[in-house]
Amino acid sequence: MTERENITGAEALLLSLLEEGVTDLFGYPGGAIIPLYDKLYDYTDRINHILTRHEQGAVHAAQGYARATGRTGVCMATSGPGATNLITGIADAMVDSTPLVCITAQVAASLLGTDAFQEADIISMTIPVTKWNHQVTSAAELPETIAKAFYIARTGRPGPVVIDITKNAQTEILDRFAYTPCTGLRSYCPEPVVDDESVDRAVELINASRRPLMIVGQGVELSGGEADAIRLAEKCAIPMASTLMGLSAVPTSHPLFVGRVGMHGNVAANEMTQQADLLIAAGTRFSDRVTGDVSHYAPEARVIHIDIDAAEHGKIIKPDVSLVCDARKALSALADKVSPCHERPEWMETAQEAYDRERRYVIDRAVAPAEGDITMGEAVDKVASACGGEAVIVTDVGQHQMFASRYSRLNRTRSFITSGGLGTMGFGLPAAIGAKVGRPDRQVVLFVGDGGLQMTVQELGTVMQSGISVKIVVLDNGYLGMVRQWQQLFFESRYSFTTLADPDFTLLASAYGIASRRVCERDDLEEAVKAMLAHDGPYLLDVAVEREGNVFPMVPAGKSISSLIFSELNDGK
Amino acid sequence: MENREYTVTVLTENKIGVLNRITAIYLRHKINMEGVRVMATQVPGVSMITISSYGEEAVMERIVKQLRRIVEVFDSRYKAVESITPENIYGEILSGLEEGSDIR
Repeated sequence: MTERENITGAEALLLSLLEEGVTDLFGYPGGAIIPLYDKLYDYTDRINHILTRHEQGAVHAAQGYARATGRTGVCMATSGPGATNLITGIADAMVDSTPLVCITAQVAASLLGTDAFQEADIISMTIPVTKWNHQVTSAAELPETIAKAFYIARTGRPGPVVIDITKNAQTEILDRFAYTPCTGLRSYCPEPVVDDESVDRAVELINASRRPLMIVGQGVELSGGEADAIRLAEKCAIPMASTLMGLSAVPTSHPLFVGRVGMHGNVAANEMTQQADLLIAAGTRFSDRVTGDVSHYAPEARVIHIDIDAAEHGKIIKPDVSLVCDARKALSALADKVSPCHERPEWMETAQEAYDRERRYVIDRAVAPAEGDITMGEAVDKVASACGGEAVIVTDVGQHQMFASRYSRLNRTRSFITSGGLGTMGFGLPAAIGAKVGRPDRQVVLFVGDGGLQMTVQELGTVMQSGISVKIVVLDNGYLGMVRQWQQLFFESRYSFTTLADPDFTLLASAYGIASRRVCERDDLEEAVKAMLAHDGPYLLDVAVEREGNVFPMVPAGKSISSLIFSELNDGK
Repeated sequence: MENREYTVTVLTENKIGVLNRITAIYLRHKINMEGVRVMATQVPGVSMITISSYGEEAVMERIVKQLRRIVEVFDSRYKAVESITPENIYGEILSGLEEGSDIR
């Protein structure tokens, strides 16, 4: 534990970050934050700072870093526009429960409220999208505020915290620096205790159930409960389905894994939800993407809802048993107490039959079409084979995201990084950068559309300058694909402003010194994917895919998940 | 579900910005805060905020759960306004005046 005397607020901040175990941070300088960057110049041997090209790149990179490592992501930006450029990423982290500490600079305390140059009321602006925020106006407040920030960001349901530091607080001298990590706040109860009575009631329900289904959400990953979820499932022969955000918590190759629930999820997972007599929903919040029309959701099932956030219980559906606590602890208690159960062959047969139907009507033509242009599903499948389930898959938002979630093979946890609740286009490239910085030992592959790539394409500059070996697969169809699909299915194919005139992405990559290739022919795809993965350094693979390809199956918005449609003909087979 | 009058009480740390977080939650749910009172309590640094509004019970329950999520909030409760209270009586007098009845 460091103790120092007569240091500036800026140095106190950096020392506080080091005390919190921060090793990497993402940021972009500016006027109000120069004192902090000046001190950082002496600390580059102790902290790795990645310079992005836009503050939005910095915050999404911090998110990707947090998701891949389980640690708190840290980003920093200057006052005014620097701070406001972070807001999209902060909102994204709030909805998707990602622990972030965002440091913004602010004008000097004496200028607050005077409409000074680059002054923005970032505290007011981020109230609805942060777990907590605080403005620091003196150096003396800094160490305690940073300690609180990290404690709040990572405890309970994780989320983003904004700390706004006035310029004078960075330059003022702090007489004595001594760091005490925060271990509690009297008004904040992040983790309610496991309630034994509720656990016993849940155990009774599980023991009595004939057709149970476990829904694995991101909370299982956030709490480190993957092994306990699997232990419970295996002990009791309970099939496991995953939400989009919970993907990869359970290996996709596990014999009890029946796929993904939700709007573009797998048939088995959705149909089993509708037939289940018990849902064990762990670390998930019943997003509308998962439930479809709530009044027709899981009509036969009792529900055990496990979530650390009390506000999620009863918000969408009323559970039969509420376990308001850490998912890992709940799953472990349940796994300890349930009676072991023999296999449920008939129930699992439902999953197999549904999967066979999905293969026949959707999957085979999505990943192995006999003719025509390369499909998005095919490209995802080729990457999945080549990576053997070991890569970290990052996606942007859109049709490609749905294809990537359906056809990736994921054997390890924290291996699927995507923007779920907010659905932020432009998330992918910077998040992949953050993931690679956090896990340099792993292959990081990004799937991104030609639309999403252009939202944060400037981050190719970060890839170039910091030498970040991300593998970028552009699923390129010259359209804003997902919106175009909805226009085709529900708006009589009136493609209003969804056609994109794209640049030559390989020329663009070359301009950034990044190796690249464009692939248009099916025969070249497999070899191109292998070359990309084997290449030492970043790589951009631009795959020209079927222009008007659609992602199926689909639960139309607001409809019951029983009304899955399998093709453009609106039929459910 | 019908609209009733509810009183929500919130116990908070006495810090700048907490009231903003509370009102932001009401704004988000499109519930007007008809009356707001903030006062110190006997516990040092702890304030009590009382908010009256009209709404459905399900929404009040959601609001209160989200208020409890605020880091500086200790606890929050909601209660339907049942009995006659000074607020109710004042309301009756006011509507009586509007209708033009004779009240001395």
